[in-house]
Amino acid sequence: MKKVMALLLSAVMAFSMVACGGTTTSTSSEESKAPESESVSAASDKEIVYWSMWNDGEPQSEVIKQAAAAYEEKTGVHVKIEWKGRDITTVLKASLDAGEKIDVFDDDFQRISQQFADNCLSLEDMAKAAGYEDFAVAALPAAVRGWAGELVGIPYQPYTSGVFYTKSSFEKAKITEEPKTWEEFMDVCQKLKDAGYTPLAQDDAYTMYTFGFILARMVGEDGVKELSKNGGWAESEQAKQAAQFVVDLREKGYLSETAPDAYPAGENELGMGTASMVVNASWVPGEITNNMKEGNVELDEEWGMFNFPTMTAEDKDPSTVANIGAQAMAVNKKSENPQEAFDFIMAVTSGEFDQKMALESNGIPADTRNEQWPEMIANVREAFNAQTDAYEWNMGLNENADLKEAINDLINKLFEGSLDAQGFVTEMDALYK
Amino acid sequence: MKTKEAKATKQKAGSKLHLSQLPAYLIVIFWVVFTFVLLGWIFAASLSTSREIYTGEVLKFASGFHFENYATAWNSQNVSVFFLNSVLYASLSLIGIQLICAPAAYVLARFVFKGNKLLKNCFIVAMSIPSIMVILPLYSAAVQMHLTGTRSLLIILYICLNVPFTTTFLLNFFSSLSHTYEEAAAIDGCTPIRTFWKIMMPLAQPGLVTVGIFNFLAVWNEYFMAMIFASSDSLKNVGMGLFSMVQAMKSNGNMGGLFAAVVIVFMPTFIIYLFLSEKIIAGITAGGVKG
Amino acid sequence: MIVLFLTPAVLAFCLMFLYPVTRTVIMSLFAVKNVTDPVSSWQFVGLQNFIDIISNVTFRRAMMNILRIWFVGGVFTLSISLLFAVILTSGIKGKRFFRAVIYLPNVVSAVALAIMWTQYVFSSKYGLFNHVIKLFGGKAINWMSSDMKFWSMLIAFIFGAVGYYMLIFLSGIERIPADLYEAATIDGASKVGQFRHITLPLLRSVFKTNLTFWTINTITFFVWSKMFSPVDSEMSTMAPIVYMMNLVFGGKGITETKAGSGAAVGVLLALCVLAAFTLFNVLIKDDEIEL
Repeated sequence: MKKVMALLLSAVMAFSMVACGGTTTSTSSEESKAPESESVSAASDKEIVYWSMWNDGEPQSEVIKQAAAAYEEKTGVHVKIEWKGRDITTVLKASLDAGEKIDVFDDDFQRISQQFADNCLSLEDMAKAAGYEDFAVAALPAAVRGWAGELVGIPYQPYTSGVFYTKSSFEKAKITEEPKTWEEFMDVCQKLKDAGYTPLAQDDAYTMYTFGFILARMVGEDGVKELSKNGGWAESEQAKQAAQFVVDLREKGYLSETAPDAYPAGENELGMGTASMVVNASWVPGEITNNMKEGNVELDEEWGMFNFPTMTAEDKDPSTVANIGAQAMAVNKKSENPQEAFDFIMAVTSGEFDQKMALESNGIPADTRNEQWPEMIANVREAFNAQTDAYEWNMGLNENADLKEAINDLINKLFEGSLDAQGFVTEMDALYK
Repeated sequence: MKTKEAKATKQKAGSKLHLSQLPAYLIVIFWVVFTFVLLGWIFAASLSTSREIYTGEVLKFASGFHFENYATAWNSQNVSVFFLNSVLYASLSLIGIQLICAPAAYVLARFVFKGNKLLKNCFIVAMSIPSIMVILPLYSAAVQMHLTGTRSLLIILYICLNVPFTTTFLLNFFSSLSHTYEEAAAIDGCTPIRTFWKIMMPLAQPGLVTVGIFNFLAVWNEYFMAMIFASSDSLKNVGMGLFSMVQAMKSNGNMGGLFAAVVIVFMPTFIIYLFLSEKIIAGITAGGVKG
Repeated sequence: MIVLFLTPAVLAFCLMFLYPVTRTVIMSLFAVKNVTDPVSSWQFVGLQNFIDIISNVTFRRAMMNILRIWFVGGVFTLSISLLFAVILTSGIKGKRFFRAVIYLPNVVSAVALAIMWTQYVFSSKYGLFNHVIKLFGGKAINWMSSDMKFWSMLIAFIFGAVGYYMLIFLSGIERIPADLYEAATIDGASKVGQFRHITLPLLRSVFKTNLTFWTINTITFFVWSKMFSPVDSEMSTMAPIVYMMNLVFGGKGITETKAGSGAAVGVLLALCVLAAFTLFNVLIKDDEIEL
């Protein structure tokens, strides 16, 4: 036994040696920090610390790495990147409040503008000096100002939303016109069904998204927020009608038998050629293509997109309103090098590297001077430029934080077919008692 | 000695009842086959493409075996970092735990003093405190002391977290050793501290090994603490690393790589298990019955 | 020497358990926004935090979920593991092999197991379960639908847990003196009768251990919940700890954090553990034979 223990221990020791050596050499930029050392750094070897919402190895992080290297080359300012991943939301607030040395951080642009606004430096002056507004997608900084009162973050990686479809399926079903109204949409669904497709793929993670679209078209985002916050679903004619539209989809067989599917099984059906359309954001073609990768062979599919249709003649919103969003990079209020931090943000979110990121991640460029859109979403461009107003994520259904999960649950049941329209609004109202 | 005899007789009695054992065999074999199918699928998935995983064609290997998944996982998805972090966390905290717990357990098992019983009870109570109760203040303190984002913090936490269990386990072990060794040592003029290091520690080796393996496995797959205290990719252990890979899957879609990572992560624990399963099982049962 | 040997362990205990637990309990009585807020900004609100969380529909569902996991899952896990323990001690061949395989899932990271279950076993179109159902001419079940998801998660959880509890039962059964069975066999008692009148009563304290472990296990239910709803927390898989994490750190679409209420969740869970332990101690008397 002694021998085994000795062996085990020595193996462990050997491993840990390798571990120390390995991690420090391979990721030298990320070695555990020596506290208090930052104050002594001379001007020439300035360092800014960036907490990133990306994981190492994602297409976005690859481009950010290149941007940081280029920025350092140009200015001599070293950018230390901590890849935090999506869990950054968990630790960011507490770390900022406690005075952790962070110069730049990023997250969803709404969270930056609301949850983290107090920790963000106003970027108005620096943005002005850099001529930021000249090339920004106007709706995005406007949204940030709408929430925070001032420009607290620079949006990048914008996305828009609508109905995405595979062109092959529309061709096969001989559909030439993209639907604009719900009626036309239902016709399209029927044609697709006749051609052997599941017309609309629906994942469980996006049921609130689809239903939010339907409801917001009819009562507007503020109307959705009001319902979500204070209830009154049964009294609202439109709420009941919106639920009925979902019931129609199911009863006419326009959803898959198993909908809502466990994400991403639903959207993947587009890639497998069994379903045709999905209500989602503009990252979905890229996502499906990734999921369907066969070694190095890419999925051969052309993507179409149209605005979410109008529902009724009395709709509150036109079809040019969609959920648009972005990530945003912000500068910590306590940063000692705000200008350097801002310049780094600009290096990532505009010009060469913005273009690169859009192409690599199949996303939309944040810099309007970047003319090149990824092929996959090239036809989203027209709709994106024509957008008149923006919805928040889930079109306002998220407004009620206390009931969010409960609302989601009932909407799932609606899509499953275990609740009818009347049952749905009644159960909804029961939540508010 | 007695239990061994008992086992032998029980087994003898059992071997006469062949036919009536058939249902028993069926149940166990069914479960074992099921386990193999599930774990086998994970292995097969690690050699498949994302498309095959999503379309349910994993076990067909239509596009061949994709060994490159392992290379991708190891290099570009940072599994090497997660893996080495886990090795570091598990091995260093294992050593730390034993250095702290063995002396404490020895003293608690062998000496009578005021507060002995109280301490023992404290450790037993601490074993049953859900870690959710301790995590908030620890996080707040760590942030204020600027300790977040360091490996040493996590190692210290893992050590402290395992002190109650390990001490209690070793305490039972030391209690079962005979007193004659110490008496002999005392007669030879050996100081108590020397006696402990030179005589009692070697005697306690089986117990230390068992509990050590146990600690190693616990830290290796740990998830909750790592989620809060190791938030950078460069600090994540395998449990947390796997979870963030699941999240990142959305943008890179490499399911095959994910399962390759799962297999890589699973291998060390599996190999330890393969060679030392008797020890682990003994450890769990001893700790279980007494705890 | 006593002081020298004990200090590190006691220090670890204070650092990791005494201080944080005290602070969490105090914090649960205050309105605290962020977990790192200085004590001076805390506002005393008495039991308001507790009233808030108990009146919240999501938290109630979360408690209901773990209560169901505890009870339904407990009945299944403990009976299946007891069954296996009895089968394995009944003298069947290949005992060591079976024992090792049944315990094997415990060595695999829960994150990996959960991906396997959600993507493979429960997949509605290509999943193993639906495949088997179709083979027998049944109708495919949507295992991940809002009504089924909880039960699917529970099945996966039970599968992973059985091995551990089986081991503890196993060691308990092996310590029962064999002469008891011999005497019973001579008296003409059947195998079932022996199980009821000898094995079960003598396993009382082992049962208590298992129940204790199971309770801690369900109270801290977290990884499985997260893995079965990876995008955002959902009602059907909600667990108190997930709810607490959302309260303390903010989740998707939740902009207001309430660390005080989060602490209250922790205290409430700890009280549940305490109540359960007291109950077990009162209801299940330890055996007169020290096992």
